[in-house]
Amino acid sequence: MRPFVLAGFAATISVAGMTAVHAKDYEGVELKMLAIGDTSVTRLAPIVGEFEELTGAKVQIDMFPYPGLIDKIVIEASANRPSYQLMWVDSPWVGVLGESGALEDLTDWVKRDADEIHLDDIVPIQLQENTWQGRLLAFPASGMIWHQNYRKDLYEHPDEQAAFLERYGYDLAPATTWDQYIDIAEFFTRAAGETLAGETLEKDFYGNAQAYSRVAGAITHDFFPIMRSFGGQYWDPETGLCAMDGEAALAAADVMKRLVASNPPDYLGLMWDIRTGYMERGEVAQSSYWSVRTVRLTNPDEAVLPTIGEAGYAPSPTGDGSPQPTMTGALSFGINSKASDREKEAAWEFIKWGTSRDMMRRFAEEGSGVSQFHKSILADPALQEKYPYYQVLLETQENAQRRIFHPFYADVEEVFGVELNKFMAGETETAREALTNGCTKINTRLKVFPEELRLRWINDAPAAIFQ
Amino acid sequence: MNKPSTQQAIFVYTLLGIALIVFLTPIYLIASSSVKPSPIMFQRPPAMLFEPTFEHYRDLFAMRPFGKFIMNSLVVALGSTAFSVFFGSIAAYAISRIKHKRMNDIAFWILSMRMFPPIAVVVPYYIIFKTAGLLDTPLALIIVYSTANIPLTVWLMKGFFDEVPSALEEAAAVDGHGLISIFWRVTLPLAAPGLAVSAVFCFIFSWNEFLFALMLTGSEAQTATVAVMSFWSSDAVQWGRIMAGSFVILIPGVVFVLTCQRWLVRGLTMGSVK
Repeated sequence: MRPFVLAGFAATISVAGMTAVHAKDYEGVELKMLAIGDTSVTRLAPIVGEFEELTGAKVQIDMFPYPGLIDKIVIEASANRPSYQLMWVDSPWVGVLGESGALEDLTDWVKRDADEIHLDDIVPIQLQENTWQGRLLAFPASGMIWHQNYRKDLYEHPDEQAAFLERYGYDLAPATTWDQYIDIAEFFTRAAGETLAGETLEKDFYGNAQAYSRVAGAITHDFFPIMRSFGGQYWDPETGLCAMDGEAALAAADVMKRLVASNPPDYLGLMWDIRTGYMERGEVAQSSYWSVRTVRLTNPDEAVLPTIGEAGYAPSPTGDGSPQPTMTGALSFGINSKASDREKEAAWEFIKWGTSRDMMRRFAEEGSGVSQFHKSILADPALQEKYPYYQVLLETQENAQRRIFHPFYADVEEVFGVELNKFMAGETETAREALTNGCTKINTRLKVFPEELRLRWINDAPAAIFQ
Repeated sequence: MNKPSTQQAIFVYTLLGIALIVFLTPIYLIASSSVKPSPIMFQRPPAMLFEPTFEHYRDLFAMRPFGKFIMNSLVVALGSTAFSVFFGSIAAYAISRIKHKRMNDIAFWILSMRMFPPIAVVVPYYIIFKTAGLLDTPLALIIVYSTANIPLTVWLMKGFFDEVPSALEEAAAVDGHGLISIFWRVTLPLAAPGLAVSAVFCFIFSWNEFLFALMLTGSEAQTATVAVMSFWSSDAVQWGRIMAGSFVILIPGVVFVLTCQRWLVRGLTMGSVK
């Protein structure tokens, strides 16, 4: 408990300091935030009154559905007198929002307030996630990685370990290669009546749960990290055209196809959370997904697993076991570029307050830890005990690569969602055909634009923050 | 008409039973999922017996001002329905009674208002309402929905007015009734089933509409459909809350249709003149 008490004391001092600094500087300013009902927002919404007490600025958070929010943001940014000064931003959106000029560049503010926001303590890739052409368009409120979750209790069961060793010739442990991942999935796939960890199964048990649904491009959220773990990239660096039909992409499609046999039978309909539900109920041996959902695996109010077993966490496997950059993502807050100067300043104060290290620690201590982006929080032993996956989050982001940030992100997700889903369903015969179809459709749209522009779109120009 | 045989009755009731199952299963799934604990929401095979929880209903109203959003939906849906049925009926009566060589063109032009894809006009609507200061108000949605509902009402009501014999109106004219009186006291009551049908369609469209409600509202005028979907976030789709909201949303629609049902059967009066 002692670290929590000390942290709370530190937070109190910090808030007191903030009170002295701001002292109702923004009395009369009203800010509205265009957001979703994401944890990064719902944990903040009930306490915005505290910000008003500190600064005088009143903040109202409107929550909308995730589907359609990006369109609402773009439309909002087209108005000269915006209704919303603050925007919730998913990091793959920075391309389209950057090109539309919807978001204010936060670079200078971040540089100015580097000490206040503990810039050195923020995982760098989380800032890069929100960067477009060297400009920082949003500030992380929740950082995430794509990693594997597994049934630690099953992996450590002596009977299972012995059986696995006998069958595959190596020790049962979290997979480091996709071949191992497939072996483990195959090993643990069992029918009702068979034995699992010394007990007779009352219903079927599955080796893994991955998302194969085309709805909202869910399948791509698993496919792209696997593709990247084989060293694949989205775009051809010479032409700026689609490169998601190369060898790495083919290998990733092959992995997903081979995993179908050990996936639950409704695999084609598995979206993100329905897929994670299998892991949360302890009905599968392993499942890889975004870490924003991982926190549930230790919460008995949200998952069955904590009451019947134990979850383990590990980095994503790679093609040959050698390190590949971990795929990251960020859920962030940005400022409407059309807001007035005073509103922008107040909005930046709000972002600093709502994403501050003290606030993030407070959330973690209160239970809504989700995905953090401060190194000191991820490295905190007490918090690591509470959120065991923090260790994986911290270590894997040393070697990480951001998600897709192209202005045609939505098209890629939609097109490849359909093409990959058709391949997994057997409607398309080969992976090459599916991926070629996907790239052809994307390239048809991209070729309308000059190569110079296409190359600019794929250029991950680093944020000027650290210069 | 002969009384149906036992076999025919069994056949008909079997078909009705199947139809009932088809139509009621989604409602059952919504209702059961709304009281199912989150951890077993997608359990396979589906959990049929479980201890129901009302946490999703509690969260629905605790995490969002859902009562206010329901009221917004009611105001918008009833407002648009009343507006559309009133003006649509008048327009339909004119089109039905005025004999002019271009009247069919006008009728088609009105219908064409429904032909453009909604997404194509979202931005213009947004700019118009932003400029007029109507953004995030129920009035904006009432106006938008009425532009879609009035053409529907016009075409539905025109058919009903065409069916009302002109002899009845001529008789009323002989009795000294003016045009408005004839319309109000004679023609409109006889077309009451059409009004009920139009009102039902207008209400259901306005009640369920999502795209315009998403784009043109904020926290003040947000409707229940948008509010329910706001439980779809990036890290989770809160199906329990969505199902609880969906079930609550079903209720006013059902009540409205049942209320109008009485008027729907009054089509029998259409045969009052031989």
